Amino acid sequence: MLGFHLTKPLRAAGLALCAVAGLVACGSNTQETEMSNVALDVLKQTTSKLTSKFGGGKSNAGAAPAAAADPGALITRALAATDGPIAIVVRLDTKAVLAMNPVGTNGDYVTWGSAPGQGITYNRGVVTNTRGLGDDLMSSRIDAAVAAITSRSDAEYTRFHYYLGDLGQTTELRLNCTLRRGGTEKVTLGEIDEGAVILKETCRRDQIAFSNVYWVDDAGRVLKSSQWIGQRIGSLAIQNLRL
Amino acid sequence: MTTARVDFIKYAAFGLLATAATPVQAQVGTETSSYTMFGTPGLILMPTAEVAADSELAITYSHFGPNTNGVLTFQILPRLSGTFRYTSIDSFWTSGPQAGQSFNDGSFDLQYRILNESDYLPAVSVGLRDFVSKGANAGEYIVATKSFGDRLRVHGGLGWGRLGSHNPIGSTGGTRAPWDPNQGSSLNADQWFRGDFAPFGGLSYKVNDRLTFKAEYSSDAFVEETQRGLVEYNSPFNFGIDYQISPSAHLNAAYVAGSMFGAGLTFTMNPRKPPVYSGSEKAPLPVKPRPSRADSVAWSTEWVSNPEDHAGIKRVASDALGKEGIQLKALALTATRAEVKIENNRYNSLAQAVGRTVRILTHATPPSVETFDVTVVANGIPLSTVSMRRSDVERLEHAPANDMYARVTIDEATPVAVKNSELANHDTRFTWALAPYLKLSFFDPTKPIQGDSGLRLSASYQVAPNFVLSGALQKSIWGNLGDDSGPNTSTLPHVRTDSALYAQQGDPAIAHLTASWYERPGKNLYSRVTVGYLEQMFGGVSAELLWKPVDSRLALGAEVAWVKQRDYDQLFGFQDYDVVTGHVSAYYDFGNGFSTRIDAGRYLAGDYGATVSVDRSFDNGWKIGGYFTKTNASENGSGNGSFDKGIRISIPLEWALGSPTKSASVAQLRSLSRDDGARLSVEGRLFDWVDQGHGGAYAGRWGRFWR
Repeated sequence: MLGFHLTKPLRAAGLALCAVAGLVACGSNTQETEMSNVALDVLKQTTSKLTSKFGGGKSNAGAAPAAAADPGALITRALAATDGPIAIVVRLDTKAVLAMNPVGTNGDYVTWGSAPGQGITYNRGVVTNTRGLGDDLMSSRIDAAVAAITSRSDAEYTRFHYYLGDLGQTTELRLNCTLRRGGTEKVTLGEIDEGAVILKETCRRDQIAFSNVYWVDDAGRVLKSSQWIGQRIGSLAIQNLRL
Repeated sequence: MTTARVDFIKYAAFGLLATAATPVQAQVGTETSSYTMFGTPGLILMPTAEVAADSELAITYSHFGPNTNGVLTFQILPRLSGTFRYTSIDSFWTSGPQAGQSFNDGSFDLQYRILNESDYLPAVSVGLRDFVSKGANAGEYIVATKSFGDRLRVHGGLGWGRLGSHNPIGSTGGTRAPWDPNQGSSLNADQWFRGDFAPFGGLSYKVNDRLTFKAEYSSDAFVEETQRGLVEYNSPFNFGIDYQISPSAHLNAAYVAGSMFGAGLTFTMNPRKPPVYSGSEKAPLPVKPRPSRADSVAWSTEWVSNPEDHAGIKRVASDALGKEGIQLKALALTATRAEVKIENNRYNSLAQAVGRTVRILTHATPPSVETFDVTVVANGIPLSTVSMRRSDVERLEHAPANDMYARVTIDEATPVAVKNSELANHDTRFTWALAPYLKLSFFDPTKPIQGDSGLRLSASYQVAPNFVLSGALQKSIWGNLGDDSGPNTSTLPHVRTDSALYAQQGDPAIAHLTASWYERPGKNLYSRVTVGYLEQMFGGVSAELLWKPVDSRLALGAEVAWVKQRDYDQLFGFQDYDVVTGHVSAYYDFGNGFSTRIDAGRYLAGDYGATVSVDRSFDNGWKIGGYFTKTNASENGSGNGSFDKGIRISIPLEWALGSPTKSASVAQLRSLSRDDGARLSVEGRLFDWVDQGHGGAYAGRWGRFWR
């Protein structure tokens, strides 16, 4: 919001800018102005939701931007945006699309980020945590899964997922998983053109059950995948365009 | 510096135990989402042994015959619920000074589940209705509920007091004095479960997920109302329907006593059920690991002696933190240690603020720095220091947050206020805001919507980080607080009951204009002195001292003030009345989400007494509590009953929005405004913000450290 990012020389003109930016409250003390601006935001969102509902428009739940109509154009645009690695992540239930690229590396963990501010961290291609999606996978202990997936071998193991409960407390979800090697397939997407083994991972805990699919090349790289994040986010389709 | 260490093992263990049994709350069964006309879980007028979902908060507005209720019910524990109710009985007074006016009162209920339902036995609950008040609805009961399948429930019980007034079948403990509307309110414990008792019962049938039918045989004969000709009592049978408009709204309709139609609207909220997904804020900056030790150039410590390097690091850290809503107050570096002082302006979770700070420090500080000491500061006063090794930050970035909790120490901060010379960023000392304000009160059934709205211009200047000049000017645009509310009959000095005059004449008004000085007089000690126009009705000097160790459940405080009553126009003038007021306070946190506070001392009208309050707090910042005040002027005060009591609720905005903010929406429900037991309202009371920077605030919300 503009009012919160006024730089110093602009501060004197703050009042005029407030009106331009459509804020109800302004000033440098954000705690004082926050309530009313947030209330206005909520009001705007509610109105736009209603408009889209009655206008027959498709509402896009979740924080991600709307899906582009033409996937080919999207891929071309994403590849043109950077010289380095880039991936397209699609939230399966809402079809919301994110273009992401690596923003940090810590040992085996690589964190990818999107321009709007979402983050996904992978351990050698397997999602270990997410940020900014809402009800994120906060962390996980999945070393056994990572070892089996990247070595493309059948295995049974336990995954430990950690989420924040409704009161903000850490809750653990322990899942029993089976990994099975399937057929092989050539993955051709963006600048990727490699042969891969398809691995299917099925996990279960009481009423919670999901399947993940990984396309893994000879070097143990996950070229594309569909991975379950949590009960509310569901699964993400992750497609590398350039590694 | 090391004085205390928060017991992390306890909390870490709690965190894991809590996950073992999902859902976390203990279930007691036989729940309902259907509320009575009196705003409690149950039938139409009669109670049942049902409970609401744990920690559900229900707000009901209902009307039948001459009776109007505004009610708030909270499921305090799975077995225990508490209710605060405003009741108004229309045209109640037929003679005397109040002739033609309605009877108004605020009252409390409690209900406790004794026995949970099993295959053969019903659920059994016992309850007190309207037990601290003038007693319009005073009654006690024991009631049983048995379910037959998923849809049908049968309820039956015995009631005393008002609930034993129709066809009593026996009597216990001698006779009970009838309700005397002229009497003030009291805790009439000697009358509980005494006198006549009568049976009541009913059925509830859930037609589908939205619609429930209810029928009851009521043991309330409306004795007083019938005598006054307010109610025509034809039948003990009442019938009603409950329609669920949405999961959080219910509409009730009923036919009562064979003569009256009634309707009620109930809204529910639950701290455990946020309306939106949490965590929509931007992802944090990833930790930047250091190069290997072999890289001796990167690991060199030559930078320590270069002032330009220090300044550069400070600038980078300050800018990056600023984008995260965190203000860098000070940064001191040695070859191996970075000591930062931060003020968190955004995150409801202090752990999240600290987590984001150390992520930035892994980018901003040279590799030789191995220890991070993050001191959280508020009002220029250091509250606590979280110390950790940078190696742990690098190693545990993607591990569960409890792993990191096991590696940090949370200690009392060095008790010295931040100095101007330390400040990393000088242009943050002046802040201002122009914002609309809105005060609303829905609850009082005699005045359905009362409020005031307008514009508020506020500004503050930090002479030093711990010495703040602050003022606010208010201009009302719409409001009805100034509406004539009848003659003021209070026999005490009018310290609060002239609020209509203040609302009428104070436009524009100086809401406050103060100088506040905060200090750390010593270990575990905090102090405040505030001078000026402190609040709407009083100005003067207020001083406070608080003893609160960083990991202690107990805190003690003392406050004294000399104040003079302000003119109604709320500009610079004063009236004649002045008073020395003050309290000693004890705060105790039971550690299970409940805390209590006792304040004893002299109130604004010069009366002596004490206030006792109990709050239930949730780790996400929700706080719901009740309090009562009894003073030596209570009996002959405003004539509104013998003591002041109320409920307060604080709902964090973060809960409702899903993105981090420290703001909260606070509601306070009091019995009618009165002059006895009134306290000064001064900004910056120590416990409120000091507690927010201490051990408990980290422990409960540590799960967000890596968010």
